[in-house]
Amino acid sequence: MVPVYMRWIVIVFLAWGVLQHLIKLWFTLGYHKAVLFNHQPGPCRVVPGVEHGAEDITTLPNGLAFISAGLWLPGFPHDRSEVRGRILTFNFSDPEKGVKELNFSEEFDRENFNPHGLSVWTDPLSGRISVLVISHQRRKDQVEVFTYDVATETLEHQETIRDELIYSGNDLLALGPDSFYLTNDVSHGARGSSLARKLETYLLLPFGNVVFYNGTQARPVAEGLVFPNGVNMSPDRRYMYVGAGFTEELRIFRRFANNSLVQIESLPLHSFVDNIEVDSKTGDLYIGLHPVIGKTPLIHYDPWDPPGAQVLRVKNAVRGPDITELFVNNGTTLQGSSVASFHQGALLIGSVFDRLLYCQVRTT
Amino acid sequence: MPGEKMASKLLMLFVPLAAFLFQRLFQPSLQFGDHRETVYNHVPGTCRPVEGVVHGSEDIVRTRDGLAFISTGLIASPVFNPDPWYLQRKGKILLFNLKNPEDGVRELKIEPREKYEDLQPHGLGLYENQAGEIRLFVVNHLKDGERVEIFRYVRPEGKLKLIRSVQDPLLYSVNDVVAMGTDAFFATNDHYCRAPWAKKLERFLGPAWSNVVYYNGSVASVAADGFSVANSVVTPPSGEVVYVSDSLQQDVKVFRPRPDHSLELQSVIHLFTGVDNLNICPDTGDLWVAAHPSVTDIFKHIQDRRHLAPSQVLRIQDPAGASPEVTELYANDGRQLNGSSAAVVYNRRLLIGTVHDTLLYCDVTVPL
Repeated sequence: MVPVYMRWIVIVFLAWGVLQHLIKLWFTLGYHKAVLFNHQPGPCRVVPGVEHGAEDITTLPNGLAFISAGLWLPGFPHDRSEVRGRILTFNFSDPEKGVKELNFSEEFDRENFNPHGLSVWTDPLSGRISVLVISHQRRKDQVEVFTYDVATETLEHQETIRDELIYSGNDLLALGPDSFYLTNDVSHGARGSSLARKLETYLLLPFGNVVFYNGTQARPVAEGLVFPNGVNMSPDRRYMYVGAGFTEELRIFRRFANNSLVQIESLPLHSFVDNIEVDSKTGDLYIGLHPVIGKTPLIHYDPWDPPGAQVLRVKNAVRGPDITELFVNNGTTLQGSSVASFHQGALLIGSVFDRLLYCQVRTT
Repeated sequence: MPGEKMASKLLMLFVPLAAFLFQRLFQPSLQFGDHRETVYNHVPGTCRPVEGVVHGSEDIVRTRDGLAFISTGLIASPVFNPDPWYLQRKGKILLFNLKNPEDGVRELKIEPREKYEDLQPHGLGLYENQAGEIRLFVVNHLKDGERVEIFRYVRPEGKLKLIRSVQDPLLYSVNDVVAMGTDAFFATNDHYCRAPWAKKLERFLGPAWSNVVYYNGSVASVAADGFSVANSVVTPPSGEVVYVSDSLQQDVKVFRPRPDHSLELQSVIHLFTGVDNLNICPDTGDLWVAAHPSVTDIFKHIQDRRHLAPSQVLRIQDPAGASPEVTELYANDGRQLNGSSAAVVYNRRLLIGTVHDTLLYCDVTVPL
């Protein structure tokens, strides 16, 4: 017979555990950030023609940026029928021109195209540009591979990659025309069922992973992440950067020739980390974050209380990180910033479901 | 069983007592926003420390044409068990010309000599008239009581001549002052109690006994009360609004002065950060607010100068209007600047003062 006080001790212990998790969840969702003070690195303006998000951006060394726009997931503010998946280009060398929508080759099924993370790979010999995009079909995720025709500004569809280990893709990093690293933000079970997904999110379960697809097959290279988001690599290809969303960290891995990863560092950034872009000249990281992830459609979106935006720049991520906050907004100018791409003194900031912002960087 | 009855009685007493103590111990942390203490560094342009300032630059005021007066060598309040290094300071008033930032700071001579010997400056206020007369009001923490010293700035020789030394029973824990005339001013009393142990208790229990007083040239009267820690007070040249920052309530209160100089509350701007000194741009009416994002860290910095205390400078546009807009101009985790307490802007040049650290000068290249 268990004594009465023993039972109470167990109950108090369990209640304390639950309370602790609830408090941790509240801080993780960012509700404690009562107020965000806006600031910009220089003059900013909204790029016209982008209303339904510009979730991921990648810029080539010559200043040509590729943007995936029109992502739609359950909980997003606009109606599914209003949103169209598109790939856009923006030229940093000619910012006044704004964005240009790329056409797809005839046979590509653009009806079901729901683009999320994208990556661009340039063949060093031929100069051929491959654009790889994660597309969320209703049940499964797949990676669409295109070749960018510079002359006609068209994306020629090359292949659709599906794999057992690509089920909840968020972002990817191409290492070749058909090989890439990819982050799965939740477990396979959670991708299928909305209840499982809610549970996994609120319990902050570490079931996200990073996989490497070698052209034929995918294999896991990093596991135990809570909603891994952006993935990118240092210019010398030795280090991989992964945005660990709910743990609010930048995870740094050492990358080996066989593409395997070993974690060496974890930088706390204190906001939900989304996509990571790397400046090819300096190796600086430009990161899009969500200061209050609880107000985004991932948890609950209320247009009268919108999520804010934040962009951080990390110099010297591996040796001695120097973190600067380049941009913060309380939602009045930009909501739900997911990515920031820098090129020669200008910053292009994309969002999950809102607009695209072009800023000049006038600070150090 | 009698033992169980006794145990349950003790529990009934213990639980509320524990809850009360828990709340009191953690309330300061939560109230000061320690869990919000992640500070992301950013600058409005290039910033560099001003040479020759090592014992703080607690308050800064500037004239219309960019002449900034800075109080340095603030006496560390014994309430905190201050780091002994701060005791080596000497209270002074420095001058920095925002028109010629390369000249750096210059110490101002003070007449009479005795006033210079015992100067323990804290907050500053400035009076400027059309004729070009400049008067500097300085809060002086003398051992035998608080005073507000009124100096005339003599331009060519770069010195401050004492005109009046104001003492009043209602000036007992003065922090800052704002000039309302050649001899009149508003001043903040940041605490009610005088003894260090009593101030500590006052801060812990939070009875909100801090106030703002008005001195009309001969006598002081209470203009507004109910503040937790009224820190700084400023007005635009018109004098039709009075802004008061409350470090503990983490807000800026906007008042309209009545004919008898008492203050009527108009609105409150919540900032959720440890606001320190305010400054007002004479042309636009914007408020420049220096703040301590983590009050716990600034307290620890006062006890140990190696402990980093984050800094923050905010700008409030249309502060007396219906929707004041707040932007953050500067933020630092303490590695560049510790404990920012005052900020002035003139012609795209920013000067940030600190409680016990240095003085930072920044060029502002972001849009203002």
